[in-house]
Amino acid sequence: MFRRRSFLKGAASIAPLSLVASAAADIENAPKRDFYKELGLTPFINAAGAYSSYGGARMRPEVVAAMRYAATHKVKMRELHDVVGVRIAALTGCESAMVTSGATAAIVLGVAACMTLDDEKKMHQLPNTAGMKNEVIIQKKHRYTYDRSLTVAGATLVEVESEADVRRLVNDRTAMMFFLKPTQIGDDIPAGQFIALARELGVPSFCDAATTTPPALNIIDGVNEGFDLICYSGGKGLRGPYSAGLLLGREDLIRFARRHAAPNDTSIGRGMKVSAEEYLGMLVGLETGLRISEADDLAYKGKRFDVIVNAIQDIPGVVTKVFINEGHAKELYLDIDWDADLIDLSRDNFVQALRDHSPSVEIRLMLFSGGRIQLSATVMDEGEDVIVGQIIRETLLAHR
Amino acid sequence: MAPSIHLAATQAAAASLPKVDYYADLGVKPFINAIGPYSSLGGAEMWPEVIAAMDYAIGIKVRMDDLHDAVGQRIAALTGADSAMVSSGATGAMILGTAACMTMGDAQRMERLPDSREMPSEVIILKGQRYLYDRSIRAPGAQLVEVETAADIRAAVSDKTAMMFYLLNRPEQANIAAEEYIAIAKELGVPIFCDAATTVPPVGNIKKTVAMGFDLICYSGGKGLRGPYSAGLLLGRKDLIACARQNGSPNHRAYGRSMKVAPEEYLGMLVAVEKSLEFDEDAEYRRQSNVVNAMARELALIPGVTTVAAVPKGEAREPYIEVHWDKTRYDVDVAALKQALREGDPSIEVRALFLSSQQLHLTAVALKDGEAQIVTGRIRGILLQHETRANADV
Repeated sequence: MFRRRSFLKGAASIAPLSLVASAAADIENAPKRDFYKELGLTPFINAAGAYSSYGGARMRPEVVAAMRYAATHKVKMRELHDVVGVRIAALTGCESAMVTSGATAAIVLGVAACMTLDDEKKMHQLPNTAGMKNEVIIQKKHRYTYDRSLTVAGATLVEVESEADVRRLVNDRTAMMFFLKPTQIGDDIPAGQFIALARELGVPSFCDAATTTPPALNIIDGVNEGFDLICYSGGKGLRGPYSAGLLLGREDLIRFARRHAAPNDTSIGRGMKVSAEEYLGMLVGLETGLRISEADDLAYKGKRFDVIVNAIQDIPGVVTKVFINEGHAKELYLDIDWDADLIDLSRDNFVQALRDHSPSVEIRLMLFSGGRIQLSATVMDEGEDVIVGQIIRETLLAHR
Repeated sequence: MAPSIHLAATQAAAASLPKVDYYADLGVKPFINAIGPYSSLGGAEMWPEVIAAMDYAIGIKVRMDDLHDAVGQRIAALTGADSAMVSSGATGAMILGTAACMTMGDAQRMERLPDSREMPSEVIILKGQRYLYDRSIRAPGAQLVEVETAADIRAAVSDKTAMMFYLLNRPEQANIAAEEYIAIAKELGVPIFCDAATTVPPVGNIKKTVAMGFDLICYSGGKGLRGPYSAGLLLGRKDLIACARQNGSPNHRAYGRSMKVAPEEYLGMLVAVEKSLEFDEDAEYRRQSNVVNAMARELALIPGVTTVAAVPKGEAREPYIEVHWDKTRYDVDVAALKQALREGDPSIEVRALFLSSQQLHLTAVALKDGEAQIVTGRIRGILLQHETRANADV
């Protein structure tokens, strides 16, 4: 028996056409549009590095292929989260793992997990932290731009400068002890001592290691250090999806962090959505990154710089230097300088000239290069090096 | 042209890789979705044009702020809104919209969220419209103030009031009609936010809702609009959208820095809106009706089974059927049937219990060709397994 309640009149004659099922095949047939031209946007060549505001890293081709796969194959999100988490944990040697919507989200969810632990009522109550642990211990030297994310779930920061400070300030309101890697000005309490102290005092420790890749192998070392939770950015050094990150660590804390996150309807992190393609893409980015040797990675970047150096080294007064930065992440940079008596161009004007060129070129922000002209090949493709070399050559020659 | 080197290189490299069946490799099983594009089930199938646009944005880099500006303007023009932004889903839009109304461009307030002690932080909500997702209003530190009448609103609004909230898909649960609610908000000078997340299709609803006069409106991007899974729309007043963007990613110290939206999601969302606006929704509605009607006919052949065809009120216009069976004849309740469908192979998800007033619902919005027959066949099998002895003997 079949009754009609509404709207179904005239529904008989159209042949069923599954628009949904044919989607995958239709992608190739979609009209080729130059979207940025339509929008009046100027693409640029990124010789600056994987900054979020420049669209992040060049995703690995393996990541792009995996994202395309996930976009056209649906599975239940929780199952996907489970299996990807297990695989990432196995790859990195941690107890448990999850993919977040970036390193910032990993920090927000990690703090939330440490504040509420398993308590459903507390989870629902956030960011109101009345009646729960809500203090995060942070070294004064570790205060930085992104410590903002520590307070997003409702925590407050407690600054320390010594082991004695930690012992004095840890109390029954302490939810977590936070550690930043790397810092500009060092630590008062080094990582090993900080972890031991946290263990002794029974407080979960968290490490922001977002920018300590490449190489991806650094993650295995990071996990081995023994923090209870550690986070990484996915769309930068790991060349995974732009809005993805990793939270690795203790099985119980990762389980709580997942309950604070999407797609749980009433979680505080429901707004920090991670799509299936980002979840899978992050795993594949990590797998691929762990396979690729540091030497291969540096050789690729070195080749891009060779092309640029070859294009400009015959110009009188120009000095180039390729170097690896000091620090946790191994990045290759090209430093370019010139004799001001031979080439009359300030560094600021050089940056502007590259930016104003068509195609536009962005180089490393002078804020991060100590005011020097430096290029990164992290987001550069074969062929773009030729163009960048030519543009720099023209720019320098124009001011001889 | 130089910048397309990256696009060509990325696509060529990705295409040359061996095809991997990632989910088979990971042991994750596909399933049949007879419930709809829920977040927990991966949302809707994206338009092919959306996926093509996402490939493009992965392959060509532009500065994020420029992209946000240009896409926002285009979406505003398409929907008739004053201004627009892409968020990390409808929840992201609610959080940023609430944060915008609380902080109103004040840098110190933005830095302090979710500590809302020294700023307007109360959000007026109709008691009948309290729902699952009002949780996200509280995320940036707001408190909900329940009202039932116009007099309640006038009594409740003070200099602590940040926003008035309206849930568009539950008009029957509002004591006050949307028009009156909007008029009161305007009179009292309080920004009014509308959650219209699940009210498309038809996409024409967006223009109608924009024209009603809400200050901010949010939509889900990865469901009825068939855009990227973790994208949504926030439409509305230019000043409030500007404040919402300040509270969002990629701003380093923003409350919402964690709610990242990738360039491919930003562009993909625009193309989803464009595509939805030009799509023949009536034809798609007829397609879905045909599929659910065919399921109803199949099920009606089982003795003791009846079906009712319906369309949800106020929600997205997606036809569904409600399935009833004689519980004395088949000793299986809705919960057990739902569980049996979920645990079978292939797993089948149906709408039951919580979201359907304890009934079993079947929808066609996310069903692929041939799957409807599998669903009805499995329901028949489970019912017959549980047929009581008296009937089985007949």
